[in-house]
Amino acid sequence: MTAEAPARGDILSVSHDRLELQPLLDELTEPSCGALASFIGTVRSPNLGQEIDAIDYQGYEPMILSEMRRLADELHARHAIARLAIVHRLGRLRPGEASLLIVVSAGHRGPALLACQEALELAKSRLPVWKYETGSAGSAYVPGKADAGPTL
Amino acid sequence: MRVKVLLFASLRQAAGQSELELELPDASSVRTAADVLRGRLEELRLDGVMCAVNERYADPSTALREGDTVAFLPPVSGG
Repeated sequence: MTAEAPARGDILSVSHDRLELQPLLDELTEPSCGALASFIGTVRSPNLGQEIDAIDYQGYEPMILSEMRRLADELHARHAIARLAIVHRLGRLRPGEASLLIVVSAGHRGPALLACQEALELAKSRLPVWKYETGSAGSAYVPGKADAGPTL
Repeated sequence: MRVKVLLFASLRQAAGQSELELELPDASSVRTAADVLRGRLEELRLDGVMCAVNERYADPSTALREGDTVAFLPPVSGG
């Protein structure tokens, strides 16, 4: 795991190994924070009626990290949160395996839950990551979203 | 000027390569780079593709400088 540790203590990283939520929860827990919100995204099967064997997650790693830092800046500006962790896994994942972890610590539950969901939606629309899915219907890139920037 | 071009996902698959260098005229934009790339790799479909310059999403009209890294990004599907 390539960990980033900006001054705020956010954990923004890309991992090629199995994701573990508990170390992030331990890291972000602190007495001044009454709320810790977390999300785990996992590989789903069946997906759109197709049994899935595996998803190969591909990404533009330096830009994933740059974009995570920008997302973190926006979330800190909009919500009263203390720290944020976003970890995206790349490589070949099987159904049920975790592909994305998000943890937010805050003084209170409202900002923690809101920022957690917002971090998830921003991560899905902005991180340069692609899914190549292999299943009963063959292999193909999963249709994605082009909301993050202007297109050609 | 010379710029580095990165291709990802379906574009990488179509082009059979992930990285190349382009020699562009002065005052070129991301769109110029896309046009030159289309000329070199006819199988490449860039419509609806997002662009990044030096790891940041960028408008196709963005001016390029010597040594920039231009990435062409198909619609993303992370999470």
